[in-house]
Amino acid sequence: MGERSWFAEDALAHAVDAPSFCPRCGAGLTRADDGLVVEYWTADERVFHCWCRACGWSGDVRNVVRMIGHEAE
Amino acid sequence: MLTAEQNEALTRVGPGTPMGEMLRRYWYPVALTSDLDDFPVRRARLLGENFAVFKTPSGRYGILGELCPHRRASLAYGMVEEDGLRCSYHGWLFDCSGACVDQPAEPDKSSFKDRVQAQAGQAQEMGGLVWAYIGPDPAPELPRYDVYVMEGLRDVGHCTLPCSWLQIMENAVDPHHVEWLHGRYFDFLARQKGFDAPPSFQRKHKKIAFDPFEHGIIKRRLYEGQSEDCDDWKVGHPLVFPYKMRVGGGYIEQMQIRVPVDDTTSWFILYTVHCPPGVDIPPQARIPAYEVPWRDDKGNHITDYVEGQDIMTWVTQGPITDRTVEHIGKSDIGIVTMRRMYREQMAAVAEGRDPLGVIREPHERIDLPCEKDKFGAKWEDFAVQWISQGFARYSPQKDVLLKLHLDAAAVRDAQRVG
Repeated sequence: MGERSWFAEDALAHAVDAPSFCPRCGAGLTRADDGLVVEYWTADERVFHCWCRACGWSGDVRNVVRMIGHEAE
Repeated sequence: MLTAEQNEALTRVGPGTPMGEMLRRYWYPVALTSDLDDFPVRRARLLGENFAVFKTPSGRYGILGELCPHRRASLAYGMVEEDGLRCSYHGWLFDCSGACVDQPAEPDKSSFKDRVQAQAGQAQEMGGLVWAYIGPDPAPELPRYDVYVMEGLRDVGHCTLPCSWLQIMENAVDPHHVEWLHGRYFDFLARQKGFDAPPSFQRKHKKIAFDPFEHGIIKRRLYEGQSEDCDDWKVGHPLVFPYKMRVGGGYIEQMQIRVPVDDTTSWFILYTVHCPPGVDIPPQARIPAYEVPWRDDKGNHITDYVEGQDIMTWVTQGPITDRTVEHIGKSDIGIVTMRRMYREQMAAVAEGRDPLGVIREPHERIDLPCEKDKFGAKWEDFAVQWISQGFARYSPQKDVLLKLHLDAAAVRDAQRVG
């Protein structure tokens, strides 16, 4: 097993992809005295639950790799 | 998954840290009442600080910073007097407010003592526990949650664990672990070792929900085969913000208390009241409290009882679990909800507001929502499983507890037949 595990890669991806600023007001989200960004997974989608201390907005930001629409019935 | 910086912000509890400042707005148990009845002063550690907690001969409680302001000797080895706590090194006396009221070796007319103030909090007794508040004045009311003041037979197990209180709290909003840790793992262990695991914990979750409310977060679960009218879904039970969980069922009522002793140490208290109707509750001159063992003589975790399984997971996560490498999923949304609540309340305190669950109004009792019909199990079966295969198996009054519930079940059966 190499020095870097898949855990480290996911942690790096978190650091790169986690929203840094509030989608509504633009305030910072990721420093300790800002809001909060918690990453969780739904199937193969990564979701960042965000809470902005500055304006109170909260919501989920999804990392979209491939746009998929619904199937025609 | 969190950044290292946000994991730090959520887990550091010392003075001056954002979480530590928020947590200092609440009352915490720092000793058992029986401890101070046996000896009137002892050391206590809370939120990364050391204290001397004491009871005066007339029954007042006090809590002072452990080190004497004079020469920094421990007041936990002090002498309790009616007016307060006297340092054993040179006899300086401090009252319950921390004021220095006597310096025996100084000149009679010296005003030196008026310049000296010990760090002081407030302390009260409730329900067999000594509670302390070490935050800024004015202190809020000590919340009289139902379990601490209700009638019933009390039974208190406790242990000190080498891990952050926060990972214990995350367990409180993680319903799925019951099905696996206390269900499948318990059954696996039982098959290996030749005993029967409690069947109540093995049901499969259909859905879970988390509803913030004025005292924390109500956790709900629906098992396959249950309707939404069941107590587990309709009533649920709460995480009581910021460091407790109310749970129960089958005429057992419990508060699980997770005291943040410091960043990496937690005092875990299982405060339990057994209150089946129809039987006489034996009088208790003194509330029995006992250490719950969680490691065997080889240093391995004891995992053949419910809380021992929980403790195994909390402690093996590490002193402070590294949330920069965790992988949480949709089934962990309770944890996401809880972390956000902590962060919101830390911000509230930084902005000068009271955080959630700080009570300012005098009151007699605060009733919390908590399911009675637990897991759809027969009530006495649930009680017997709770006592025999949970921490209460270590209780010095285990047989009394079992008899109480079985006698009450017999009364209920007789009433049904009659």
